Amino acid sequence: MTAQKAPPFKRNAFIAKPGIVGARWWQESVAAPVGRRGAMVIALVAGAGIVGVASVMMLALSGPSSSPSSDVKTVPKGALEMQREYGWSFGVADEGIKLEGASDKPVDLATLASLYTQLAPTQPRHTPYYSPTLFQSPTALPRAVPVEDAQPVMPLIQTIRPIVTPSMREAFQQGRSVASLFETVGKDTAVIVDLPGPDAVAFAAGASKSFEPIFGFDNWPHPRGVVPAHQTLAAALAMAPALKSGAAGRDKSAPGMFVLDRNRLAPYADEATQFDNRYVAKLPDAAALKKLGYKNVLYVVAKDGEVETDDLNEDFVAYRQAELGVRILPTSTLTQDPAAKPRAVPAEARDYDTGATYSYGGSDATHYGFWVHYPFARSPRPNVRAPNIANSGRNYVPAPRRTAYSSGTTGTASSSSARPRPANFGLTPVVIGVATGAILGSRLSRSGSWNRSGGSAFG
Amino acid sequence: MLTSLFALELCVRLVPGMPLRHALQQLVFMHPEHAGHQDRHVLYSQITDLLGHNLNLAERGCWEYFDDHQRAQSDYEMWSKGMLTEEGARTSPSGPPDPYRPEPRYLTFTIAMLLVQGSATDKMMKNVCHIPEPELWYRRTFGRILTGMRSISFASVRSDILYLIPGDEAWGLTLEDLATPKFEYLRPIANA
Repeated sequence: MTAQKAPPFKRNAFIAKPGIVGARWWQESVAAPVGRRGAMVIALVAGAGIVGVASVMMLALSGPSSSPSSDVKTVPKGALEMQREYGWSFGVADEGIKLEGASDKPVDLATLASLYTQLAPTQPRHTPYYSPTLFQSPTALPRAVPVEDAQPVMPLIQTIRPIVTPSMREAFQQGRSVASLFETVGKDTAVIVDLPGPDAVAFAAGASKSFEPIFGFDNWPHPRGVVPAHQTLAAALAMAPALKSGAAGRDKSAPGMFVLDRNRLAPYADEATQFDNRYVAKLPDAAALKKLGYKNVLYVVAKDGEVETDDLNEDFVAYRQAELGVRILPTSTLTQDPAAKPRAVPAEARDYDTGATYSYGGSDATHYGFWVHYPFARSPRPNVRAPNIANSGRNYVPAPRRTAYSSGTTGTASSSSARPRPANFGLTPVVIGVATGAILGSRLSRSGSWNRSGGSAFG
Repeated sequence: MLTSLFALELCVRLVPGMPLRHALQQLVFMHPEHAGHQDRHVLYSQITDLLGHNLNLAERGCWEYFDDHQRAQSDYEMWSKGMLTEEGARTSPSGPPDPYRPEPRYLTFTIAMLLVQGSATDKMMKNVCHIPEPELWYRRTFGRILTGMRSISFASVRSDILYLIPGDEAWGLTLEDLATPKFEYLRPIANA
């Protein structure tokens, strides 16, 4: 049985008196910083075991070794796992994020720090599908420091500001428009909003009087992240008051609105310069949706012709096979009604609420024609006419297709949580010491020798 | 092996009911005699959090970093003596902070470390402590340094010392104490 190694620090002085309390610790074995050549020597001695001391010294004093062995190697690790351990900006702690549309209003730090509880669904049936991951990032602090990459990590809470963009303002009105349709009918319809993150948040805020948002943002921002999650987080901060107001006026058994970031599968090509903070969406499977009381699914996208993302295809096919009604609603069908009088908007909401009214088909006369195109429920207004607009989503039928997220079992119901993903998805290359196995840092933070996949080591 | 020195001391006003003094005392008192790198990291994260959150009450302070090995060794010895000889501690109670009495009470918290010179941590702290002359005593400078300390890898710390004056709420430092020569190295912190 191996004896447990003693912890490295030993307290060698201690005082505890009314006037003063203190202690001193000492670490006997401290590794002096070594150059690459030295590190290779250590690895050779540790690994070979038969190399004599003299030979090692000669090696250390000579030029770069011709030995192909390296003192470090690169391995892929879960990107989010590394961020949780070493900080949200793992690998590039000296880089910040750039926010587009940042407001100059003071940041409500208390709201930012408590977003993950504030934005959690209140209905127990929806809680299991809520992902607080993104909203936990502002206050998360590193739990450890990579051995060779000790850079101070600026907490995210100090850099996030609220943002409101023109497209968020429009999405907010479109969300209000959908909420008005479902005010009194369609309670057995679950809505899945799949728009670019900030727009998805704004849409959910606009719809929050009729739908309980269930946010599914399962990643953290990163300065080099291919998914601009910082924008989504900043949007959530900006829309928090609207979401709170919607919740206050909402029926306690309101149907759920699953809120997804369409950018979650953004293209990722270069592990040396980009950070892979992608993730797949997690939705209830068909059986779970039915158990939750839903009979229909309305999938909201931005443009006519868009279909479900690759990671959702198998879910949608399974929904259809389970005889859930599935339709797609492009927000391009919800446009401003020029005849509608501007609504009075409280001062605190004018950042995101322009007072405009958006309708299905762009007119009050066609708005409830939505129910003609989407016969999930009977229209609360009789004798409505459906608008003549481009909308292929209303006739959409999910069909299986081969994607990088296919489980290979198309045609059978399976759970999102077991969804396969492409190779190297959501991973980040990490440099570890061969001899110690310790994580030295991210490959992102290094140029030169660490970016070589193998090769010689020298200082 | 060559070393660098980093040290920081804050003098914080004691507000009745404020948990800072007790929390710092407990952290130092309860830290194990034998500790691993992660234990040290957690301890310092908690300490820097506490000091950072109460930085608005810090009225005086000092900090230093230098990578001259000889000076690092001798100055670390000096900081150690400050604790071992109880140099700054009162020899009798001053009475607990009283909201109805105008005389304030203060605590000081001192941190000093010997860092492995040339290590990533040493370079990081050198960078953190690279402060323009006019900003040496700014409050935000102390905040920056506290934040930087959260990234110290204890694999590169040879030794460190932490001490809190007072150990008991009723032994807080008075203005008269702070006016003595032994505290003249503590400078007023500017609100910037």
